[in-house]
Amino acid sequence: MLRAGRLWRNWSAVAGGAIVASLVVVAVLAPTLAPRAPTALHAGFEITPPSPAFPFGTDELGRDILSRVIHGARISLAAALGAVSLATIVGVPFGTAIGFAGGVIDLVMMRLFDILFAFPAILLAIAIVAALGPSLTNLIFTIAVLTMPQFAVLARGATLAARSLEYVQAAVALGAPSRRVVFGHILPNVLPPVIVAATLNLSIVILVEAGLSFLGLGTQPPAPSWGGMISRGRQYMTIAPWLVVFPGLAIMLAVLGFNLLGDGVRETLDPRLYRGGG
Amino acid sequence: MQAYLAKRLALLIPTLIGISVVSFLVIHLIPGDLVTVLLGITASQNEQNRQAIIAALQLDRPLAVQYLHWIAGILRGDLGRSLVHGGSVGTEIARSFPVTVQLTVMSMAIAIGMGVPLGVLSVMRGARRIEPLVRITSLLFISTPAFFMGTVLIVLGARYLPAVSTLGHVPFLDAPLASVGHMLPPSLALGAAISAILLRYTRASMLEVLGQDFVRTARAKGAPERRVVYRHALVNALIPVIAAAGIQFVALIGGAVIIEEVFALPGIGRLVVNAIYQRDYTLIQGAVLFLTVNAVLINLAIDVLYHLVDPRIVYA
Amino acid sequence: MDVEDDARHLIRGEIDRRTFLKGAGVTLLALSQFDRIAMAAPGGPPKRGGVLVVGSDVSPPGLDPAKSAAAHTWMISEHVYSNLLRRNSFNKLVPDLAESYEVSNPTTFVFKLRKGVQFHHGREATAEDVKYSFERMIDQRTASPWRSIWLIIDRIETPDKYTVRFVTRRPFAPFLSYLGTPHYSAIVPRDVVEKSGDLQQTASGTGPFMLERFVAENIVVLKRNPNYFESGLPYLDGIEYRIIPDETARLAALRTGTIHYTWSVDPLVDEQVKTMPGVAVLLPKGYCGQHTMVLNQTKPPFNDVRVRRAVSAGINRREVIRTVLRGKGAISTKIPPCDAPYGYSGNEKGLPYYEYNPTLARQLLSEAGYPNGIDTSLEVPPRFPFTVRTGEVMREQWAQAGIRVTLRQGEWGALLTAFVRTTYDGMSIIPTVWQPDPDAHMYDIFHSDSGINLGKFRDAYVDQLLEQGRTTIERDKRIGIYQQMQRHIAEQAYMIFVYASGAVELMRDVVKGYVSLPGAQPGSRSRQYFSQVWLDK
Repeated sequence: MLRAGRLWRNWSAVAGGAIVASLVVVAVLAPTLAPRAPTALHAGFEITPPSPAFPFGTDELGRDILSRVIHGARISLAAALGAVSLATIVGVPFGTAIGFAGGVIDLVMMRLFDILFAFPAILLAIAIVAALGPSLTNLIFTIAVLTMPQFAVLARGATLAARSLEYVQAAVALGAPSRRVVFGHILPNVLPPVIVAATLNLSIVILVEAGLSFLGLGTQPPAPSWGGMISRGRQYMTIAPWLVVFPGLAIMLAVLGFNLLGDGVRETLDPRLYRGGG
Repeated sequence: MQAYLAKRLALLIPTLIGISVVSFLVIHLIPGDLVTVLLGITASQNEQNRQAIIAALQLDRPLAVQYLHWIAGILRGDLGRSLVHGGSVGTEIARSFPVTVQLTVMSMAIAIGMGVPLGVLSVMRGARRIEPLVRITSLLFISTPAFFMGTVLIVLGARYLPAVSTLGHVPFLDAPLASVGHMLPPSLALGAAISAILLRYTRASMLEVLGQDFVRTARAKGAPERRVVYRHALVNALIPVIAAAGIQFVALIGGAVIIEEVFALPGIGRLVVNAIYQRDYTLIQGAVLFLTVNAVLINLAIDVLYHLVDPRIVYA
Repeated sequence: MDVEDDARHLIRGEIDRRTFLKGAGVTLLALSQFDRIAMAAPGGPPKRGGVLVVGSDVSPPGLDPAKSAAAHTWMISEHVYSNLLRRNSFNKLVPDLAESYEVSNPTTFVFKLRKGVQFHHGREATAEDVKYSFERMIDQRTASPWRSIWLIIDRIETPDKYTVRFVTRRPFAPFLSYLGTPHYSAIVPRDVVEKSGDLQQTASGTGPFMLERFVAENIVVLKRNPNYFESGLPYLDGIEYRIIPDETARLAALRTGTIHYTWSVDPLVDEQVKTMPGVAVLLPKGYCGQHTMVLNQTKPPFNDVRVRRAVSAGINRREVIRTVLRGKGAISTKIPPCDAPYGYSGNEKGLPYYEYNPTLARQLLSEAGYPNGIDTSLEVPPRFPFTVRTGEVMREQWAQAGIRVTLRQGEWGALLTAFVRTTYDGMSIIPTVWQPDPDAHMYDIFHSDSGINLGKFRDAYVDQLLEQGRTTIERDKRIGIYQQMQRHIAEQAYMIFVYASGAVELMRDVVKGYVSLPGAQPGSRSRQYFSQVWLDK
């Protein structure tokens, strides 16, 4: 189904893939690439604008922003990939199963999801972080818990829609085994919105981390997460825009890359989708 | 449909009970002691002070008893009193919820008004050339945190449009026009990002539907592009979009805390978060119960909407 | 010559009561006149009218000063209620609702009230109201955070309508200070309290402003008290407190003139405000804002005094002040420099282990059995970004001394509870609130029998000094006791203090007549200064 050959010819996938690959490389090689240690304080150089010594400028404690942005790739990528993988791996099969099973199971599970969904996310985040303690792993876990219901519901919705399609009902009526129905007919309908959701979520996780940092629940200082850097540098925006511009650009680049790649993958999944304006 | 509705409504009672239990427990499981937070460092040292507060607030009763006491109050229509300042929880909610609702409605209006039409336009044949531009612009909106955009709006507004005050809240019933005006910057900050999300869902959904047989048939039959798009594709494509919009709506109701904080809006998001920091159990329980029930009812409404849009969806 | 001096002279029998009453009475009134003159100077004669709009970061949760321990409650209650005494712009205790007083012996304080002072709801304030206010706080059912303070009172007598006599159980040096602290001793009316249950949502006092409207998290509106006992005041028609939590938004509101006055603990705020026409910056007059860093001494490694000393010597306090506070801070002990002469006012060389010395730190660690240094953690509250930054800077400094620290952010409620009960691992640091008396700063957290001894240590010598400090009325002797105590504590490094900071106040030019109370907490401005503020419009 995933025709690798076609992937190459899709501008979106190529561009996106290139960006994501670069980010991964930067993340992996961070200690080598960064000119200085991300937590090192340079006395006398607090909040200085970009200069040859500090190409992205320095922050309020005299740390090199370029090095922090580079190291930040590790944290942001780990959080994004970790949380979304967890949420998808748990949520999609779950949602598909619910949609496929239907009946009482569907009803009950959806009510449970209603409760989970309806619960204010902030409270859940604070509760989890307060109970488990703040760390990157717990952050990933928290975000995964917060976003998993989305995937389950989307998968269920798509499953229900697919089940009602004529050719699927026909297949079931003809006695096709469940497995074949699911993999051959349901999944191709479930995957596109899930992929879109997953790629969107990769980027949203980075933003959620920024929001949690705003509330003091994000990554621990002095860890250089992009979101944390923006939320901490925000107050000095008028006098030192470089504090937020560079991490902001990094976030935008990551979001762009993840989404372009995701789009490309979705488009090649089924050539029928490619038509009509892609 | 009727049977479905009946079944859903019947399940509502156990759902609500479940919500009340969860709301109650989650808050009490957060570590951190209400008495210490209430008294502050200065006064919490004294054991007699602590005992006096515990007695006054009846915190020494077993959890189950406190839960039942709370539920009994709810059934009488009384959500209790704030542990921190003694005001009525119901009044606090009634004061802050409309603010958040107004923010949510305005943000969603902007999001739907911008996102869905743009998403539809982007799949039309003629749009092919500018599509990369659309995609990248929408991604830019998605990638900017709402609080960041909000801050930019405030700072720019203060510098270049000082006569226009963007902060604080004017109740809608007092002065509708001014109220909407005040709410515009935060709604823009929130709505812009969500519009980009809805754009993408619309687009993806439309593409998926446009690729299907019945659409190909319509095109082959020579139907004008517009009719293909609107009549055939759009309605079917709306389903996941409704799901997505619904999710966003509910999320906004409970989660616009950051924007409320940045724009000084006295909404229910801030109410809950401040209550959490202060361990104001009664207020948190009341507000969370309220929000959760609200969300459940909204979800029910959306599911019904689903059904109306696409009667083919079968609910077992 | 201030009231405390007079009181001391009286107790020592150096002057007789008549002389005291005459002298003190005149002095008291003269002092308040002097304040007012000093204030009116720049800007010409005060103009009446206008509403001062204040931008506050936090909303008061409730307005009852006897029940709320939140500083933002006091911000409002200070303007609505009076006390027997208050502090003036020179930080001296002067009369407020009381006209004069005498201290006939170390445990008896007699106050004479002004006559004809009206509560906002229209009846005269009498000695009964004073008695009621304190008995209410002592009453268990009120659950007042200040109950433990006032248990020192044995009885309160009201020999006539305008006279109140307090008798304390033993000599208690902080007594007058506490009476002059607005939130500890606001005079409230019994009838209003009994009618509404408490004063959280309603208010009636004898202060310069009356409560008009209170919407939590949104706005508090005060209006002028036309019957205020200091005639002619206030000039303003009212004060509005707008709750704007986000600092960037507050600064924007200041720029547009939506608010006239606000404050910030960010030392860089004066940079940000440079480009705002019509806004003036008031730098802190004294440093009162504290941080208390505690160590868990119930287990290794901090049960060893050498390790604690190493932690102290491993901090370059000068550098922290320069980097985090941009120089707007000073070396401090638990009693901040603004509380001179009780507070420490020297540099880091004057206290043991305050001087930065990583070599000494490594040596101490070695002696204690940690030749390779130690690994520990420091809990920091994200709610206070400057505390977190302090932690970040110290972490880098400690690394040079072999102390490897992991910073742990926690949610405020959990963190505060752990801090108070000493249930954290390693160390914890939070900003602590200024106290009106050195005893209040020290007693409960340093005494070994106290429920909130921070760090859970026991030192009989400290206990002894604490008891002495509390019962010694003689001022010079008392100063000596507290200085000795702080030196000993620095020596033992029971708790570690890095700096004291202050808040920057920001005002639009139309605000005149404002004088900052040296070192007051942000959010807790003395009403005297708003009562004398006027708007130049």
